[in-house]
Amino acid sequence: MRRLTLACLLGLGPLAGFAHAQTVDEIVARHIEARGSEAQWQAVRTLRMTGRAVAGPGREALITREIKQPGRVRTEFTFQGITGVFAFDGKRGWQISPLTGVIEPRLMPAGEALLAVEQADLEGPLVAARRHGAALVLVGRETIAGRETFRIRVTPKSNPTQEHYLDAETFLILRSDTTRTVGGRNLAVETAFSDYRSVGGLVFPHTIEMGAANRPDRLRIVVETIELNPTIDDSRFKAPSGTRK
Amino acid sequence: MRHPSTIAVLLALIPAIAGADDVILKGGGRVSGRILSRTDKAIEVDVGAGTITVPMTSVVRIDQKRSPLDDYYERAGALRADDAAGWLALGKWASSQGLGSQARTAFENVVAADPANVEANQALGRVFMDGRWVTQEDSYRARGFVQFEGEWMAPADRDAIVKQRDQQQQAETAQLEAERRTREAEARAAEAEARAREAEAAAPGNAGYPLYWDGYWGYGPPVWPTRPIVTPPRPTPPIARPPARPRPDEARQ
Repeated sequence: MRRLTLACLLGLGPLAGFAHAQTVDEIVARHIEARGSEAQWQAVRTLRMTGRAVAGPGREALITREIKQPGRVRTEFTFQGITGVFAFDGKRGWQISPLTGVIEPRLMPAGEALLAVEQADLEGPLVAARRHGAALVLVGRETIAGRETFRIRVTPKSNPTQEHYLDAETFLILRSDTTRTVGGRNLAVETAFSDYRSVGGLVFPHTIEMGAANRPDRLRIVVETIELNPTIDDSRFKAPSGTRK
Repeated sequence: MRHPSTIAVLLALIPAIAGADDVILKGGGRVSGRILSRTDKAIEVDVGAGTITVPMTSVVRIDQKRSPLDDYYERAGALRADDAAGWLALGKWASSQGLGSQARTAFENVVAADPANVEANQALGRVFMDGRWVTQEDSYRARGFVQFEGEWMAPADRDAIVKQRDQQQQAETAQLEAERRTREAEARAAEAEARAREAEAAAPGNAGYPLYWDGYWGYGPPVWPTRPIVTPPRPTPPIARPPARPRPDEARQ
């Protein structure tokens, strides 16, 4: 009898997380807690990450991302000694991309700049969604890469719908799905997050893999360093004078 | 008195070192490499994988400095062709510097000297299948993917793209033209696939497919930077290699 009780308890163990986090609000709260306390996140005013982006043999770039609150982000992408800049100053997105022919600073199309608005949020897409008034719905539970997950759908006001799969035990995001318009057609795009590690008490994924669903090629980002609250001048985000449309 | 061959090697090194520059662009863009030519209007820079031309109106300043590319060529020049460990270390270093083309060359040299080297094969994207290392492309083919417009996908996916394009065309034309246009689209699809294969053969690993840069890591270029304004490297090697040193067993004889 005791064995049976123990077996039942062990069997129910994995479901305990589900029982305690049934609503989307509770799941998001556990997610925020899993990545660090709200006070800790609010204390981060600037962030700098460096790493490598690998898209295949011979396609490897050095990348740096800088974020400054409120809502500013700058990504530098260095491939074969050539550095491009993709930045958002809180209102406008701009870029320099010598390898794709954009040598003079140029404003980004409004649609691309809108994506940057969400990406400038330090706490991640779920908190960003809340902040920007997006609707969050718990779609259900699914097994992703052998892990039980909560599937949460985010419907932003302007950007495409996203679906995030949160590990039912750790409450960290394992995968995010969305759609992108590439070459005039909609593509399902998957982003997988792994190698979560704590930096200054805050938890960040250190490996991110992006690619189109059902296609073999992947862009892998390996995060090598993360600095919390480094000094970053405002001018890093501002479009240079003479930036063209 | 210096030996003439020593002077020749030093002279061969001069263009690699003296021309090393960082061309700083407005907004923080940067082009690092060797300046090949400079006029009032433009600067041509060898970046190791080819050359790039930058208009002077975009240049903020030019910092003269030694570039990682110079370090690569110097280290490569000192390696024997069969020094697999040396090429592997150099490949990893080049990779850490964002010198993808040089890293690839170094890893290819490792595999030439040591075909079973796991790290080099993996760095080249090769996959161990049926007891041998095959290219990433061959592994994709073996898994049933096809290459279409530079991107690997399932045949059904390619067919759907072609179909979608065809439907868009049909909407613009008369109903009677529909069947003929479908046949043309199929022919175009086959032709495009053939062209993609040719392009792949001509420029392996430089296809320029979409990156799908997304998520909360920041946003970057929409496609992997490719050749639009980078012309292929010049055929002349950047520096003269020193003569191969004798192997230890040869030296003993």
